[in-house]
Amino acid sequence: MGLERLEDVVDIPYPQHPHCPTILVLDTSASMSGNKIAELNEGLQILTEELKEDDLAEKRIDLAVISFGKGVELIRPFTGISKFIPPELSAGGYTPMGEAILLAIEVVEKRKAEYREIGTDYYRPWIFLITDGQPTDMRKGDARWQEVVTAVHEGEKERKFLFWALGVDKANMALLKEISPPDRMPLMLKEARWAEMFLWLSKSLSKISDSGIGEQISLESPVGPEGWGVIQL
Amino acid sequence: MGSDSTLNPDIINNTYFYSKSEFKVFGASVQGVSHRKSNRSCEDAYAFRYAGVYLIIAVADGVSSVNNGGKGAEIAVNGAVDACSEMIRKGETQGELLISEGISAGRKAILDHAYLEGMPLSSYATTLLLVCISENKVFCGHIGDGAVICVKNEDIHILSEPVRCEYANETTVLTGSDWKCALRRSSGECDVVILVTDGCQNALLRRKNAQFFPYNPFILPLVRSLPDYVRKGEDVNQAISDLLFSEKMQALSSDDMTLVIAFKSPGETK
Repeated sequence: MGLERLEDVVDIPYPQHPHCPTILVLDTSASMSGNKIAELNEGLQILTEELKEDDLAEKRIDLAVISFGKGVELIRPFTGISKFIPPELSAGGYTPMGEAILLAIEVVEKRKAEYREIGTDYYRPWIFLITDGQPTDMRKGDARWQEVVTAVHEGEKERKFLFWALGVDKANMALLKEISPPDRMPLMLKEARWAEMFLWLSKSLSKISDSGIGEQISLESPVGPEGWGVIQL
Repeated sequence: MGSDSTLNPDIINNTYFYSKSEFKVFGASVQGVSHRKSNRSCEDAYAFRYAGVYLIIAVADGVSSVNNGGKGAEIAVNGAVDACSEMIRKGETQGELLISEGISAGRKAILDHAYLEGMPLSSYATTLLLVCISENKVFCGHIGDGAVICVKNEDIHILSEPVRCEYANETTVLTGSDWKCALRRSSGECDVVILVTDGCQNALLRRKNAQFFPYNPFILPLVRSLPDYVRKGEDVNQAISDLLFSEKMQALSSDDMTLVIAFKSPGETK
């Protein structure tokens, strides 16, 4: 009688997938009302659907959403894509961007601590900020401003996360540039390219979630002629 | 690739050099899903030599983001085991010294090759696991991820665990300038030694509360069943290769996978 195959002899455990935490920090101030908030909501649907189509991304990407407008709120805590339900955002209020960024950093650090506690491997988190204006809860040079800029710059330098800033419409790109890490310029969304931007985000996250040891991911450039964004110097 | 005689000949300088090691070694390296998709060959490598009382095994995982990671892995494993067996031939018996010199030789072999090819050393980035196994003792040197697991009287312990980097796609490499700091040495007693690259390490190790634990339901049946394969004259290397290519193993990781196992010949266990 022949021997059993080794795969039938040993117990092969279920995969422990590394997780890829991504947090969207979304401007829902009054100026986002109308088409912009509608397109943002549609974009969140696209992002979720695209990631659900990717087997590996669905298992590995954890998505969270913070909105800043009428207040700063973690409207979706970190959730695996398979169970993620995109929120229906509504616009109103000011632009408390500083508080939202600090909350995002705090939430990301907390999530990493949870991964460590349960022994789950994880990729470097992404913080993805989208705004059409400028912060109303801090002014350049004040204490909150210093706290936010230091937290973003130091966090990037210490490789705690990757911070992306995306400006829409009349966003103050000069201020976004100062908040952004020195090596990553903020991007300006080309008119009506919301869907392309969310598709790019989905593809980029899929690539990261499939990356191996030491692998440097080559993301599609968002600022080429066909891209959805521009860098405004 | 596996051995099948009690006396294990190894050719060094065109002379047969018979080993007193009772261990047999079997293993396989297989291409991972991501390399199949991108049409890249398997960039893991392993090599072994018998010398004196020692069996020497090296396993390496070439970093996939660099151009020559697979070549780096191949050069490292051969450079390390050749250097160890040459030292033993010259009379060296200290396991710790063999490990230090073997790892260093693996790196130097890459350095020499990179120089000749006019390529940067970093383009050959690879991890390296090296073990020297004498009668019941194993000495280990390890840079990067992957793991070495020892079994002694069916007690399983992790001799060398994967390096702890914060993010999942990071590791330490033999080609790094800080390789001496990254080198972790260990030793232990064993009847069986298993070396794996990160592609399949999750079948043998589980993590809980930031600690690695051996996954006994995989390891023990493997250790118990392979001697039967040897007794019945089965192709053990092929059986390991088939295991690594199985659907459940491939679901664990999209990386290349290497599993090498050394154990005493059936009927010879003391």
